[in-house]
Amino acid sequence: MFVDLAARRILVTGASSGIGRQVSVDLANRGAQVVFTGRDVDRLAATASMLSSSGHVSVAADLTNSADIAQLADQCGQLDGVVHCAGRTGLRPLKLLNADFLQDVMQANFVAPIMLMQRLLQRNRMKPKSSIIFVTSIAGHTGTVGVGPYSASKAALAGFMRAAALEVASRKIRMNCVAPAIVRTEIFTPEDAAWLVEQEKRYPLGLGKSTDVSNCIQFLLSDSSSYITGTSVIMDGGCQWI
Amino acid sequence: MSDPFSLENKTILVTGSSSGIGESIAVQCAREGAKVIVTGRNLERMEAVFNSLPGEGHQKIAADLISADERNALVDSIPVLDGVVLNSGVFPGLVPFNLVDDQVFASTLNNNFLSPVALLKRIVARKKLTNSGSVVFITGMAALLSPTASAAYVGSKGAANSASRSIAADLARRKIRVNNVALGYVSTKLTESTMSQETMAMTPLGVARPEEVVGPVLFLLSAASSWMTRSTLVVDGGLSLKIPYGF
Repeated sequence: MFVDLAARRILVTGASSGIGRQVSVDLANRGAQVVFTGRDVDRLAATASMLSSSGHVSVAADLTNSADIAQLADQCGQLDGVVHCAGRTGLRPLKLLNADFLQDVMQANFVAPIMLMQRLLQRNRMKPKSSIIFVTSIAGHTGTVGVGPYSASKAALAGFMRAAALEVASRKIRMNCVAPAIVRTEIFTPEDAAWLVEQEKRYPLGLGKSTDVSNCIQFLLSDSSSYITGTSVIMDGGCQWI
Repeated sequence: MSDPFSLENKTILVTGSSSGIGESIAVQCAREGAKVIVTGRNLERMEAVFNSLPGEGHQKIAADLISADERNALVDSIPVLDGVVLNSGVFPGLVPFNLVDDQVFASTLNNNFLSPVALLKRIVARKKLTNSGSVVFITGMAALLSPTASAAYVGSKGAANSASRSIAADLARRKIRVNNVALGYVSTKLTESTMSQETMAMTPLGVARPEEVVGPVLFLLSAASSWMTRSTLVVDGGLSLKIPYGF
């Protein structure tokens, strides 16, 4: 099989729900060792109960807290890959924006994953030829009314990724973003149901599933993508956007 | 449930598979359990690639894809496909714009854009591609890098990339997916003889061997990418990181 992740040790952030949980489950099924992290201890335990086989490690951490980042880097061991799924929404039209809100979104979606990555590299946690993946969003590439803070945070992450990919290339460490359009996850509430049905009409292949994004991530973690670095993989079910 | 990355028993046509990147794609598809149809102009090399394919049920069909008759004959003689890799193409070498022969523009466009698109149209018209099938265009980051002395080549690759995204929109009704793999510098006979050492050394991860760029093609052929269409996977070792244009 061209995607072989057996015995690879992979850190997954945001593993207590959504895409991060799906990635953790799928990696465990492929025989990888998963170090999975999130803020909510109960939901992390739920993820743990879904992982096949043993040898996985759960670390509760709030990645906006530098002490938690340091502790995670201490406990994660030597890694073949990192999948940054942790993130938050950030919807606010310009006229209702304030600096605190913008900073909170940037902190969670941009500063936190970058500082974790820095710590992992400083501590020599990334093996040569390892793969680092940031889950960004199509919103980092498109303009949508009211989505400014979220778009900015994801575009910032993709921008930093390109510089960082160059800085680690000599060690054959790879860095990429996966930029999905709308994926049905717990980030949406029951109130969003009608809006999602409306949105789905724009998607010839339907809205995304967590497994769709997880499959792409597994490919990017594997040696089969050894020549892909510094890119953003756009996944949007064929949406034409305009 | 079968593994979403499996190509087991999928029938896949790979154009330009008698050497280079196409050969690597054909061999690795076969290794993953696919039935591969190899096609190319050079009979001897095509035969050699065909004989090297692991597994059974493969086919070899000689065809010069710039000939409409040969394209049509190829389509008539193939079974219904699960995947098509439009890989065949030419690189006319580095020639300053004012010295490019008009004929070179025409033949490069014909080989790299008109012929693969006409072949795909015929395949679709003859219902030789299953619903939910996957089409992969092998294009190049060169289409966006647009280096000097490459107008004919990068124009043809850019045409293929742009057209493929429109074709993807048209075929989405049938759940047929169409995506691009945009390659950087890959070490083949073709590039070794034409590229300077400086050019080849520009890539952060170094120049790729053909087998290193096949994984993305396998991914796009597999059900693991079933939510992806109209997309471009940039497979260039970081070459295009520094440029302000992206697919």
